[in-house]
Amino acid sequence: MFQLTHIEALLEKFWEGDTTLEEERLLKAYFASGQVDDSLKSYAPFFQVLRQEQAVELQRPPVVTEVRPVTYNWKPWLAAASVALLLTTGWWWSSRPNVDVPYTAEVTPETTPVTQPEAATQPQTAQITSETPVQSRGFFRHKTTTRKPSPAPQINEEEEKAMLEIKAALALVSSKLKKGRREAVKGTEHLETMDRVFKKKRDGEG
Amino acid sequence: MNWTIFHEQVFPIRHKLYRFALRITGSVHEAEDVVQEVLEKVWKTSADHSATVQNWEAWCMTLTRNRSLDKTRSQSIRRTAPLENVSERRTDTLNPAEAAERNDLTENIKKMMQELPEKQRLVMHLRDIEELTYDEIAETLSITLDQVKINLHRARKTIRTMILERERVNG
Repeated sequence: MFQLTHIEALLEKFWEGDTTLEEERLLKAYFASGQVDDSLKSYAPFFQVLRQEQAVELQRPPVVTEVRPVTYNWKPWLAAASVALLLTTGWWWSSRPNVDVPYTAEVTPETTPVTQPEAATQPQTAQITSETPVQSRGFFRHKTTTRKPSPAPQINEEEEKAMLEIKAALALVSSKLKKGRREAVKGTEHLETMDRVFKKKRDGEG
Repeated sequence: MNWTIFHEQVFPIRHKLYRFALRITGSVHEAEDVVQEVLEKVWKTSADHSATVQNWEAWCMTLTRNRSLDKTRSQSIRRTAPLENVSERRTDTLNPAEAAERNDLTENIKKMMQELPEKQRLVMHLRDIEELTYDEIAETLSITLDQVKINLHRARKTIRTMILERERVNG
């Protein structure tokens, strides 16, 4: 039960701003009880307003999304990049042009009147007369290689003579090889003839 | 702050934040927007403040106050009397004439409370409606304890004067 004198004293303290939270809750309970003394009824609407305002609630529910801090996982990307780099480098290496034999070399007719044997190549001494720019087939394009022709080397008589001797020797070897090949063919034919004779003889005996 | 703590400590005071925002802006929609923005901000930045914030409720109230004042100042919000949607009307024990008079008086009190100077209005709201301590009010509004007591005293005195004046007129 509420004592009127106590409530009146609390109410005076309240208007002066000297009440505690507990005392203020007691006053609110008193005015909400429906048993307010007539002498204090004029204050009832004020406490009713307080009660009403305390009952106000948010009608629109707030939406808060769970946001995780952005942590960049770079390890898979690093691994993928490494593999891609390795594959690209390997492919480029395998598809790059063979820079060791990029040019065909031949001897100019003025300096070397003799014809070259098929097997002979002289990349060290011969003049480079033709250049073939090599285009890469790979992902990375290679710069087209263009070399300026170097001046024709001077060939003296001794070198020319030596070259002629070498060519004669090579021609001799070549002729011997051809002769040997003919003899080999002849021997093979003879062996086949002998094989047929023996076969006929075996068939006649059988 | 993780999701569980947020739900336990911050989310339950959403109604309190809404009432405070409504007291400042006077607009239901603006107050709802303020609460939404404050809760989002608290959730997203709580990790940065978890070491420094001691009282999440006071911190949220401060954010609500600042955001509401920003909205009020940046936009010319038409002040409407809050609590229009409140259905509670404890006039069932009164006859129709008394109920009409009571409703009229409560509307006048609401209007009077809403027209108080800003500090008085906010101090009175935090004390008489949200039942915060003087220290919490001072922290929320960034004012001294003396300023809290002075503003509360002046606000209550204004309301009491209005009530007594009306009583005197009605005889």
